[in-house]
Amino acid sequence: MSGDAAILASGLSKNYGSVRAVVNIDLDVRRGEIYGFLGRNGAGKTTTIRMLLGLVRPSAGEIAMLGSSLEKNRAGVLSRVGYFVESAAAYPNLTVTENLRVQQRLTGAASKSVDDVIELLKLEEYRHRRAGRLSLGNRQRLSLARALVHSPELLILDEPANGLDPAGIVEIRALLRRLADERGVTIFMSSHLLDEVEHLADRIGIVHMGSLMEEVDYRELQEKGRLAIEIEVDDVARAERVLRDELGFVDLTRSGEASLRVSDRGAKAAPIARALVGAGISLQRLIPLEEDLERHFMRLTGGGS
Amino acid sequence: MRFFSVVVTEFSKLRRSRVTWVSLAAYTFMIVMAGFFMWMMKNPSAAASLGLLGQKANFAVGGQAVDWPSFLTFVVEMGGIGGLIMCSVIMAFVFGREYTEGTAKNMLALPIPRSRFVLAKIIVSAAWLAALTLWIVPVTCLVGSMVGLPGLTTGLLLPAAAKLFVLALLSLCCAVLVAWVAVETRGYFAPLGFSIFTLVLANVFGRTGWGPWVPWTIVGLYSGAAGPEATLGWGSFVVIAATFLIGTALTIRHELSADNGQ
Repeated sequence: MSGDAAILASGLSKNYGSVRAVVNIDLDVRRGEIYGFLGRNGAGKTTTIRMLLGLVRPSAGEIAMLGSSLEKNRAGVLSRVGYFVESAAAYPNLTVTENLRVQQRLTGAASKSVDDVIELLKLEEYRHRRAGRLSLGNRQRLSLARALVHSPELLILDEPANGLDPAGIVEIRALLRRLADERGVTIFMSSHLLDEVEHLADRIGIVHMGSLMEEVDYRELQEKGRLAIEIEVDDVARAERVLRDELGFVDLTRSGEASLRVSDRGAKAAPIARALVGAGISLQRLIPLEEDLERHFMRLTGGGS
Repeated sequence: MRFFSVVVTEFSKLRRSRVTWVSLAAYTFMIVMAGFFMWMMKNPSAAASLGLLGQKANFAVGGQAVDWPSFLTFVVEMGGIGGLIMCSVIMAFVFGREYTEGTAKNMLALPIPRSRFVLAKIIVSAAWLAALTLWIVPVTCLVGSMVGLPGLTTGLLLPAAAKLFVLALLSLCCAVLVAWVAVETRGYFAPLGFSIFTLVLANVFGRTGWGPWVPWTIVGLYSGAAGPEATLGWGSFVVIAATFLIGTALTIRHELSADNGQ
């Protein structure tokens, strides 16, 4: 077990009858990082989070968090974890303060922590308002405040941006960044919003149909993403031969009937254009592609080129 | 985590809950209706002139004494069935609301043994039912006095009050099964349906010789609703205790082992 890991899961699977919701997922979330768990709706994100919180029993696999096995030391592990799952839920008849007081008592946190998180999440003007009368965005803030009451070392958040307005999203994003940078809180957040993950995560796990397709460092992805060049020609087969034989490219994929993608590291537009024109091939378009997270995600999950 | 904190938290969850006030109003209404019935028996001609008493009711009322012993007997009988219904509603609410309001997932992922939540909720339900039972004692005195019933003594009141508390306890023991249905079905509609089913069951078995062995019927028999001749042996109380233990164990087992699919 890696002492540096905030979350270490191996071979995590969950079956509901014949439905395989999560298939053999391995996770290695390092302490202090923000890990974006990205996937489409129904990809298995929430089921994975439920397993991490002990709300769903895995069909197979093991989970360790903050250096301890979840199965063997559930209470010890979860006392250091803050979380919210899926929808923002609170006792509707209790006020914001009373809802947080419930969490404070149950986690054994200091009484003052309730005021601190109210201030942190900018809920001061709603502190005496019943949770049932809050807007969805403020309920989401309340859920986040609840997750933070006991100053957790690890935050597990399921779609934290849901229901927030654009300003709220920016605020929460800044807050999560601050928590990671200043307090060393590890954040594991799921999202189906590429933009959200792109702006916040240090590392990204892409989950699709229950399987973890890739775990990637966001900076690495940016580096890798600059290398593709797409060309449109009248004769794709001949263009492919020219690029292989004359320029020595090996990572060529046909991306359409008349288009070809060159993904070799170091490929440049000008030599490609010269070689193709020199071979008498009609070059209709040449587009240097920067494969951003969106394209990368869509390519991995089979959603487009 | 101290169990006391969990109990205090469960009490705090009831704050400003409408169900608290609705249950209080329902219990009060039950006693007021019992008093109203006494008033009709005391003033049959006035009740008849107001169209409150039909021929059938006149026949039923006839021969009943209009005094404190009759009123208290009536209150205890109503308290038996009413207590069973109310306790089921309380249990369905206390356990089912966590699922209906989407807070079960928050609660069950806390670093606290889940069995403590179950036990704390049962304690809160018991305290709530005890408070309601305590409340109806002065309400009964007030309503009976307003009707003008003669002859109230502590010798009459205390045994009736004690019987109401025993009935509350018996109802609680039966209603733990409602808690189990609430967590199994993740809400409070199915447990309410289950409660109605148990009342039908109580009624059906009350007409057979099996009554003293069916938990919900036992409550009715103890209240005297099945008639003064109905007697209960120790076996009936063993059945009630077993119902409580089985219901509690099933609820805890569900919370410990089942996936929270909320």
